[in-house]
Amino acid sequence: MTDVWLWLPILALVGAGLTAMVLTLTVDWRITFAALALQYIFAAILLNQAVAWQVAAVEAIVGILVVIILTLTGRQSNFGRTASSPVVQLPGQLARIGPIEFQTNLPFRLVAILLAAVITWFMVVVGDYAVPGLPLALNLAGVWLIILGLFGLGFTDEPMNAGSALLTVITGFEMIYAPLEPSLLVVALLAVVNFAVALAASYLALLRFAERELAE
Amino acid sequence: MPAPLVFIIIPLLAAPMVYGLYRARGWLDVWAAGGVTILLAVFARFMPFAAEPFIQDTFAFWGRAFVLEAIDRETLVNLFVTATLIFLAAGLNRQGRFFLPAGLAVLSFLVAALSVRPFLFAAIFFQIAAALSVFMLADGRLVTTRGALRYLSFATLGVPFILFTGWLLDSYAAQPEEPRWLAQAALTLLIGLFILLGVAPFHSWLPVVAENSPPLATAFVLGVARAPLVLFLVRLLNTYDWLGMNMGVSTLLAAAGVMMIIIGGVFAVSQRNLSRCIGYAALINLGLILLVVGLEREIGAQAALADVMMRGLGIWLWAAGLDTLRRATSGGEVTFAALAGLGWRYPFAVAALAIGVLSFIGAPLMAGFPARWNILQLLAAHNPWLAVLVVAAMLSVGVVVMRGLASMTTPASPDEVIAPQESRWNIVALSAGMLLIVALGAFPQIVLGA
Repeated sequence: MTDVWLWLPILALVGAGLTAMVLTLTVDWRITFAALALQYIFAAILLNQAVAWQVAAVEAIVGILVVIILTLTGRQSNFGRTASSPVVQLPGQLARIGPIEFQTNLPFRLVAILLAAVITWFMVVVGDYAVPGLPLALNLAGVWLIILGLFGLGFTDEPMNAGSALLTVITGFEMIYAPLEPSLLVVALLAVVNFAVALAASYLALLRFAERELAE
Repeated sequence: MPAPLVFIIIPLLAAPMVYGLYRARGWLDVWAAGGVTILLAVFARFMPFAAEPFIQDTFAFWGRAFVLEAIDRETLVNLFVTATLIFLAAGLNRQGRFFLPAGLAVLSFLVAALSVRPFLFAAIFFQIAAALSVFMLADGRLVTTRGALRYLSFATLGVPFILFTGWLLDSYAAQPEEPRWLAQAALTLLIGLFILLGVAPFHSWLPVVAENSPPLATAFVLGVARAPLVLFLVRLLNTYDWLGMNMGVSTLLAAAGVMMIIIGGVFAVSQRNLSRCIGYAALINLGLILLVVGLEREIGAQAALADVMMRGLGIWLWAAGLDTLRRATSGGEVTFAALAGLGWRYPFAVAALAIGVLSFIGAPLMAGFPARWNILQLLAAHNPWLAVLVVAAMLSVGVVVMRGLASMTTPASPDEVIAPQESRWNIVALSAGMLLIVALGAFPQIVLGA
């Protein structure tokens, strides 16, 4: 049992890292939502090392609710697929490997992930930019999520994918900031920020979907 | 009853009610939203913020204080009056279902941002306000989502920098012998502020929002939602001496201001789209504010706040005029080609649009001029070339307006039948707006005091 508690943060760190990579690589909404939900749970496990478990639990619950909002939107808009177009974005921009859709600029995204890994390593481990007093795992995961979230924002102007990237940035920031700021109001307000971004991204995604359907 | 709570709760409670009135006859939702905001403007002007035991100027919520001070009064009045005008203009041309309720909710979070202590937490409220603004900027009729998405992204990315500043300041308080904490705090705070305000190179959302969003929503974001941000900047400079007294920060603000004036002026002059043009005009205005605040912290801040207060009317009139014209074009385009000849069918809308932009850029005889003249004098006292630069940037927007007027008064074809098509309400409201702008240009002391 003790081993599990020792390994859990490391597993959560690896899990958070992998989910952020998945979010960067795929544009398939169903995979995005699953990855985002897992990311919130891994973030909560990591946060549990540095904050009261109630705060970590709030992070996980907020994350799950945010993913529910996005999934409900996804269901309303057939997960971004119109009747005539079975893909999320314009035809020709996607490549299918097995059952998963990837962007055709996949090699570029892979290079971006490599770059993000190098930046994270230098900022947290080699450089003097890690937040003092925070566990290494939180520093690593926080910076990794922020950088990959920013890259994700730069890769797309599709509202749902951009919203997921924005939520990844916020999660990364919360992992670093929550242990530093014990105020309950700030925890609550950051939860509201998550909801506000999810609602705004959902609304824009629905409009974009309606626009595509009208055009067809 | 705490005064801040009045201004935070009332619009927030009114928002769902106004949403419920959307389908009601007789523009009931418009009157309700306008009524709430004008009532709050009256409260902000005349209600004492502290009159124990009935009214308190402070209330605490989960460990944070919300305070209203005398300095907030003018900003609150300006906020609610401009919002009232924009909401009532929604009665002239029907907006999307979310326009009024989202606007009311945004007002609530803007007041929370103005009143929260410590100031740095205002950043979160600004972000929530920006996220709610998305429902105004992409209203379902003009389905382009680019502008709203970009605005949301930038507003969200600015928040971490500002919140992180608080931790850096706490670290400095614990280790005052380590000046690097203050240097890092100044850097993160400025980066966060620059992203939130849309300072170059984080300005790309401004013209995109202006081009891709309904004019009234653009006016709300540029004329209402950004006014508290300027006060936030001024407050931070006045509160934190390590920031306000830092010559490096002042130089950086002034340099960023000059850069924005140049970028705005250069890009504005080549525009053939009246929406994008106002985006660049807003860029010039923001640059002007940064420049004057950077050069003269106290007098400059007063001049900047006066300028912000007077520009709301101009951008409202621009939006009301352009919204009428937009509905007369195919696909809601507002390029010169799409608007060609509309001046004869919608003369009041065209005149309102032109006068609104001219007031926004501070042209003589308009409401925006007295505050702008004050700033120009301040700049000229420092370096006359700065004043020349600002005038040149203002002229570049003026040139676009003139080209637009030429296009709008030239019939699309010689055979076109010209007959005025404006509604009586449109004529009355736009004429009143134009008269008000000219009257305030002649008697600015009504708003700005002696």
